[in-house]
Amino acid sequence: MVTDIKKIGNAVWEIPMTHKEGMNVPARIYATEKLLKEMDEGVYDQITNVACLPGIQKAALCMPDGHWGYGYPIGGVAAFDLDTGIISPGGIGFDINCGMRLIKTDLTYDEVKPKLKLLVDTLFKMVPSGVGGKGFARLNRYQFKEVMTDGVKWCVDNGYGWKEDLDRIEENGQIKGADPSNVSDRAIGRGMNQLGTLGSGNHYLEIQVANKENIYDKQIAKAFGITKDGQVVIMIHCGSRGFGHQVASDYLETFEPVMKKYGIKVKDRQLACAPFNSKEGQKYFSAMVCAANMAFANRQVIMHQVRKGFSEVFGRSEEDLGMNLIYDVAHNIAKVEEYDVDGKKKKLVVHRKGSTRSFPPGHPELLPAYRKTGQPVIIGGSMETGSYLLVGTKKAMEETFGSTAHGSGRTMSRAKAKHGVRGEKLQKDMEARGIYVKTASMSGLAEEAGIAYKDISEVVKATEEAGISKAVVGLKPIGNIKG
Amino acid sequence: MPYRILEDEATADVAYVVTGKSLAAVLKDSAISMLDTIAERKSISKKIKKEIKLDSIDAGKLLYNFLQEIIYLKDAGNIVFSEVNVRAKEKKSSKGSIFSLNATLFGDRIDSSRQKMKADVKAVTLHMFSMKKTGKGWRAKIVFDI
Repeated sequence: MVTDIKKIGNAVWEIPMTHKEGMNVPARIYATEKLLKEMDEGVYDQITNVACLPGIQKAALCMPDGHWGYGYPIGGVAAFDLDTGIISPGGIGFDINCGMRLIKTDLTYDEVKPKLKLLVDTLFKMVPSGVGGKGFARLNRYQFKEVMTDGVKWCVDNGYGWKEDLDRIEENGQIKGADPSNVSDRAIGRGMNQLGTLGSGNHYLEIQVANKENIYDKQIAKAFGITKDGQVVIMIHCGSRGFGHQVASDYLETFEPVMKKYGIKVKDRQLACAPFNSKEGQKYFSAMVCAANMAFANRQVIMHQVRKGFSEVFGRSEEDLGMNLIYDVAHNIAKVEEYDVDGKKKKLVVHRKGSTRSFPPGHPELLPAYRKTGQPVIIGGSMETGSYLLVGTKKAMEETFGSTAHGSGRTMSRAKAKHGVRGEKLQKDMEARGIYVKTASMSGLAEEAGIAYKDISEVVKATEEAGISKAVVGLKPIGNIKG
Repeated sequence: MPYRILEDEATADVAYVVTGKSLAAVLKDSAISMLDTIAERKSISKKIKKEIKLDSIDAGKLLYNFLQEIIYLKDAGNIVFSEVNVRAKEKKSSKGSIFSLNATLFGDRIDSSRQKMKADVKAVTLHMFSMKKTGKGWRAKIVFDI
């Protein structure tokens, strides 16, 4: 750990500007003492490198689930001035708008348990996962471009969802400013067949239960749609698949020579960036929005299949099963948002890479359904331990550019996890513990074992101690589809 | 194994070091490291043949573009490969070198009901990426985004 880090508040630690030559702001890490001790050494180096970027405001931040990433750490939050600051694919992540979606049902665990295996097997067939999973929605190039600009609206217009779904998604699932002409043919080629697919890696579709003892705020839980003991919900974690990765790769290459043109020097190739208001920066922003809209649409089409699967297994309509969308959040994205900086309102381009927006009650950008409660925040854990539904806070607006954690955060490499765990054994052990898992890859399953991740409850505790989000419901897994 | 996995690099992804006596050997074995990450190669038949021809003034760029092309064929063509053959050369001139490759790959359409798939490689990252001439031949360091 670095020697000059100091505790400056509850679960907040600061590395001063004197730590490294070129730091324009301090770096701050949000963590309990336990999490801070466990944090990768790389995080300290990376977050202080981010603090050196031009136009960065207040501080370079790392959330409690932070771990080493490319250029920026995962869990990184950085906000830049629109005129003097930059936009960077490394600050967003390769999987643009990787995010979480939570769907409620009116079913309870007792009703689902007898059909759990059939349900998971059915969903496994209906939602393509793993390498090369082709989506059932076959699109031509023209339609795919519509997805880039219209996002979830395209899905609803084409029968993949309900109109009211739009009111339960960050930015209504359609971020403005998409320009498909700034997206390469290669990216389109990679993404066209992938709408409605989970992918692999840490992506999953999970059936979870909200038990009474894990409902921490009854009133807000009710407003979010969690009203009874043992209520079953479905969580989806995935992003923009090969499409977003190609957009990120394309612009990382574009930005390397661009930095020379604008006289920008960075401490790591993966921090490649361009001035936000430059021609190149704006092109990337509009291409990134295309990928973000595709990711919202991807999760929407997957939800459409999940609703159909539940309806088939339980012999009841999706509406009758109460399968309303609770919320969909992006955790790999850059967005223009307004914050108080030195007592003045200022628009900034906020990069969140493995960090969830956490807007408080009353925020004007919140959809009417959640303006009173604050924004639902979905933090996904490992498939063995569970996940959390939280709510955004005022403190997050004041301190972390309206951001909080996004998941557990890995502590062990994929290669090491596979040494300690065999996929087949893990699957059996989990079944004995009441979690039925179907996977496209046994080695992929081993890589995602719970031992490879931080303790999610400690991550949530850190966000609560720091006041940047507040736990509403803890969710326990009972069925999982692993890509 | 023609490559070595770096267990402590890239917590969420996978990193390799590939060494070989020739440029062609390192290009080939780098592709093999990626294909072994994606699937059990033994389970992939050799029904489809694809050729990739590339050149660059930078050997690293040549390797990067070669690997990206294989990723593109996986996603856009739904093809995964089990065999890779590479011919490569360095053409020197007064202005510098031009590196070129001519690769032939054999594989099949992805069908997980018949094939044993592992992890999806979605990008070649620039993190620690290198391709260098050494006293004994060539050495590459690659991190794949999973």
